[in-house]
Amino acid sequence: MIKRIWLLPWIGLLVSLPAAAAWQVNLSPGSTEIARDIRELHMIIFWICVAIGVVVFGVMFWSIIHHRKSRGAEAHHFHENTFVEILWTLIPFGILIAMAVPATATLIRMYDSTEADLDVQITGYQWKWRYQYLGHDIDYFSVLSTPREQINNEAEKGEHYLLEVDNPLVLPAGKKVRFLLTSNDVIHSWWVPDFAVKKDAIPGFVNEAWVIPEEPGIYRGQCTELCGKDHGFMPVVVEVKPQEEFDQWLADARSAAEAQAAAAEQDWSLEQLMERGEQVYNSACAACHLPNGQGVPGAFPALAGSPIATGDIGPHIDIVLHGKAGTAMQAFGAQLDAVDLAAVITYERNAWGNDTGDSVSPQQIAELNQ
Amino acid sequence: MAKEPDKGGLLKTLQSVLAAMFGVQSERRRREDFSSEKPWRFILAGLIVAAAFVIFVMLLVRWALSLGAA
Ligand code: HEC
Ligand SMILES: [Cu+2]
Repeated sequence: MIKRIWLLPWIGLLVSLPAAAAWQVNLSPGSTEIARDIRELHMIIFWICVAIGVVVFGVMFWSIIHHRKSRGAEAHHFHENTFVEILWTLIPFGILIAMAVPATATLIRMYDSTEADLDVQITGYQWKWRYQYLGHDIDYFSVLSTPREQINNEAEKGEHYLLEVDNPLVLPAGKKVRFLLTSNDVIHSWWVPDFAVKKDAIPGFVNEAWVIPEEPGIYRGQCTELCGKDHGFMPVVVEVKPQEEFDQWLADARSAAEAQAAAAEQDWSLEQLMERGEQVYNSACAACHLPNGQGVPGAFPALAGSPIATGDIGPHIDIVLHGKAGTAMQAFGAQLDAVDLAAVITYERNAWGNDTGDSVSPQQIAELNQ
Repeated sequence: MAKEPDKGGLLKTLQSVLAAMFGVQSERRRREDFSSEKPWRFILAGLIVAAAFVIFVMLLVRWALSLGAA
């Protein structure tokens, strides 16, 4: 019985094998042609490696055991064997070529982003994604929507914890969509495993990728290049819709943009601005300056009692619109619309005891934010 | 060195360079080559073969890309 104790780990391994599927240790099965090809290649090459491993270690262990000293084995002394050397060079060469041919064919197709039906520019920001539908006047940010309470362990975590956003990227099914990826600050990387698209977004460069989504549905991914404090909090969510629904979405998004422009013309009361400003603040600013406005000492200044947020209004508007070069404080002038900007500045000037009583109107912002 | 080492000429030099690129050479030939009085032959042949290899790889890539585009 004691002798069989070495079996235990192996039994444990066997029992746990069915659980391997749940570990997600392998590539995603993929939901596009290219993704399936990549997975197939990966599996073929994996099994080639397994076969080589079995043969090499098999021969090695057989030799060790068969030629052991207790059997009186004697080492055979010789210096070289050109034939064997040529053989062990040619065999790996042949195997590598056999793997390179199908891999190259797939790579060439992956890089062929020509003849796209739709171009979407994807820009990475600390820590959110911006999607611009080129030629369609649609331009919006996609921000994590998991509630703070779940992140702080004050509430039960949801099903799509940290993999959910306010505005997903919406794509038409069956169309070739080209992505133009770049970044506003540091290097990010846009990754959707089901599409087998994983591309770096680098400031000053434009990288290309493409996808033909097949099935309507929701696809989730993440930023996959360590990009700072909230790297784990800028997920990617793609919603694929059938063509008609996509067209409808495009039309709706355009009229929403018009409604936004109209809202900027209205008069907003201090209460309305404060209410809206709190929402904007919590989604766009709280990651750094914290929901209570206290900031993170040494990294992100407190806004409660800050000389800028309680002093003259000019420098306050300026830093929010244009950011501060060389720091994590981004230019929000391009990210938020006039109403949101006016609301968030008003909120900062009146929340957390900054009771300046000032309110900034969207019209004022629109004038300064050209 | 009883034997005259530099008899082989162009073909032998080329063989040695190709064997070096491949990474396998017999001990007998290695001794022969290293006793040669004219190392420049090997250096020159090596440069030419290396350049030819680069050109070959470039053509191979072009050919593969042209297959992909079709
Ligand atoms: C990525 C982190 C980050 C985010 C998000 C962010 N800020 Fe900042 N903010 C900073 C940093 C860092 C500074 C300090 C810059 C400096 O060195 O002067 C700053 C400074 C400021 C200041 C000046 C405070 C002072 O007293 O110096 C204001 C006002 C401000 N931010 C407003 C905002 C608003 C409004 C938002 C949301 C729309 C926002 N910030 C979002 C990082 C951030
Ligand atoms: Cu990122």
